[in-house]
Amino acid sequence: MEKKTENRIRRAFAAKEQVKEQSVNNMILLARTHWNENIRKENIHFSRFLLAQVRYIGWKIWIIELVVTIIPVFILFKFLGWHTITQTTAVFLLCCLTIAISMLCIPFIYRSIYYQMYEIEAATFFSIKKLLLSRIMILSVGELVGIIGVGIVMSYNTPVDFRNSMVCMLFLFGAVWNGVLRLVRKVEMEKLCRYFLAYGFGLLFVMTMLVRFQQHAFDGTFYTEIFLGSCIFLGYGVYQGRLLARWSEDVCCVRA
Amino acid sequence: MELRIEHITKEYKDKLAVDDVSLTITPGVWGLLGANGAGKTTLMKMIAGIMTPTSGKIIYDGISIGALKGSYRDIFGYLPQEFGFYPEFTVKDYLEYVAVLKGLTKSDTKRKIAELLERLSLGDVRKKRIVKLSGGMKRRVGIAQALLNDPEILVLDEPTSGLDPGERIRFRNLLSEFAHDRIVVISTHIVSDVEYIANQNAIMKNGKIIQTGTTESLVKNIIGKVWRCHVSDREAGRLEREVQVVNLKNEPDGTTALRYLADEKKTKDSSLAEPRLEDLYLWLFPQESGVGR
Amino acid sequence: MREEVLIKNLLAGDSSAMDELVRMYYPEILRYCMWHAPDAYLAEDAAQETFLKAIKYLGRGRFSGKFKSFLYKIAVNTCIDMHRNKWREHVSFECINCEMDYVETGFEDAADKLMIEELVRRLEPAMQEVAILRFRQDLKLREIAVIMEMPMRTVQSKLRQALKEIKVELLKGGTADGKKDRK
Repeated sequence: MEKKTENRIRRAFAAKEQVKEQSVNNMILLARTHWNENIRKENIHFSRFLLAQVRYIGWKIWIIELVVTIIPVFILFKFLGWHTITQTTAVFLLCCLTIAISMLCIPFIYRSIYYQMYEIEAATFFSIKKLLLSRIMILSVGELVGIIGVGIVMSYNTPVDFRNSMVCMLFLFGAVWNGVLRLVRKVEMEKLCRYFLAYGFGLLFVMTMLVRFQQHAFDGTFYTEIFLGSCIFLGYGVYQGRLLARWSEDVCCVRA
Repeated sequence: MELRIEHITKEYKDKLAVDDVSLTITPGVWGLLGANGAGKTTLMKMIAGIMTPTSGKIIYDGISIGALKGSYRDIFGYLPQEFGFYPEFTVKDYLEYVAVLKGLTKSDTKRKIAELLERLSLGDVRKKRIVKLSGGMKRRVGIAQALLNDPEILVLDEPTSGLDPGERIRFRNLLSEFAHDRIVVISTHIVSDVEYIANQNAIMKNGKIIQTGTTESLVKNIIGKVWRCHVSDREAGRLEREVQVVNLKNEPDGTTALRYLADEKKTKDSSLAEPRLEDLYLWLFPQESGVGR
Repeated sequence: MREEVLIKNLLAGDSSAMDELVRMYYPEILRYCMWHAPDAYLAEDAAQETFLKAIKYLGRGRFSGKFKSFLYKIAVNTCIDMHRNKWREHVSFECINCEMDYVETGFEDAADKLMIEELVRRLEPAMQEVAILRFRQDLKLREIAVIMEMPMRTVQSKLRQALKEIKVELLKGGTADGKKDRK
């Protein structure tokens, strides 16, 4: 019944006034002058910013990642022999590698706090959340490339189904990095590291339990479901990334 | 250009760090004075836009900084009290890194860094690793990064700690030059830093602003309370226990020259002295700083 | 969105994009200021100031959300500021060369208009603001929430309350008093 009142009010306010052309022209003139006098240099776009961060990530973390990826594979080949790899163990290995490497990245993401740079970083135009986002993007892509490499090597030397392994790995990859992104969005800087670690260990635990109690988890029985799950994670990851890259979610959480 | 702080409060579980602070800041140098723990740093972080207040608003030129987000930080330069550096950075690397974060284009970065290195006398050390520099130089590098984006508002938290007297003077000159047409807020517990360059001061205690005004208007509060005298060593000892001593100097003839604060003179030959800001500071915060030594 | 294209062009150097931006939003911002300001000149003053402030941030293109909402946010604050300072002791002059052309309406409509305006002006400030933005400026609820920095629920509840209060007054017979109450 409020609709009647609403309509009455709208009618009362209906635009019966028209702005004079002169007034608009005055404004245009003022605006143009003001614009020409006050242009500040345009800042670089987020994509340029992202690219610049590659240099600052440096080479150490990549070496560490390389080492962590190659050594397990080497151990397997040398000591256990490829024939011991089943579908399940292969997937389990890939997933653990994914989690391990992402956790390795955490100290690097965490650098800002450790070296007390984060207040200065937070008080800049791009600020800390976009900085973290760019580090996450670069490191996760690097990790993905490494793990796919391992997957390829494994599928050459064992009867493991490459497609299935990749899908399972991608699912976990999506779970890990979406979790990381969500934490970056919602948690204060100082607490991030603890939450990251807890999340990583949590996932490892879940993985181990799955392997022990659900034999068919990784052997292709649930291929479609896992594939769909990875797609959902991919979508959500892109969504979260865009949110962080956009300015509306731009809140710097810094504690005292 | 006006920065309005309206009823800003920051509450933590166990304490109220900033308690209903309201301030209108206009171009020029503003000194934010107060002892450690008074809430200055917290207030500055909120002004910098890197900490959200529990309640209250900060409005820059009529627009709340919550609405401006990145645009506000774009015109802002901040130097925190404690800050570090990534160990692998040289001075040039560091400034380039922060320039990227501030959104500067490559050409602007180059130009700005060259200019700042010269102005802050850091040209000789630009290829040196920052972790190897002295405290004073590190702070200069910190100030340089704050100036990279030509900020309209500059907020410096204890910027002169660790600087030697010569550097302090150079710093004051740099600031005076910079503050023309801009808002500069410096927090410090070293009163002499701001005494001569600040147009206005705000004094903070326990999270509240207890006084604001120009140096002249603030020291009016203690006219008639600052005394000068010459006494024997023993007398000096007695006086130190009774009143707040601002300054103590042992003269070559064995006597002691004292500057102290009291409602009435404590010795027959005490004469009134012209009050200064550091006298006011000690009046408000007895014994809390090493001022005047 | 048209405004995004215009802003992009403007930043690329096409200053005619400014003209179109002004034409797009200036009239409604001016209308908004007309509600709050004592007279048309001051309203124009406020609207111009709003635009000039907003333009400063166009150069960086990094305010949050849509330009339209950003403009309104500034307009809201500008009017509040002016109420506190410039408009307090202002004496209204007869608007000879008024910036607005009034269209002739019937007598009954005019009386109803005045009564409703009066009732809206009597509302508590936040409710009044929400009502104006919704019914006079025709903004969407989501936009109002962004502009007033309130959650949508609060906007909806304030709107409902406002409607209820006005309805009650209308049923009572409202005020035949056509005097405008300028706070």
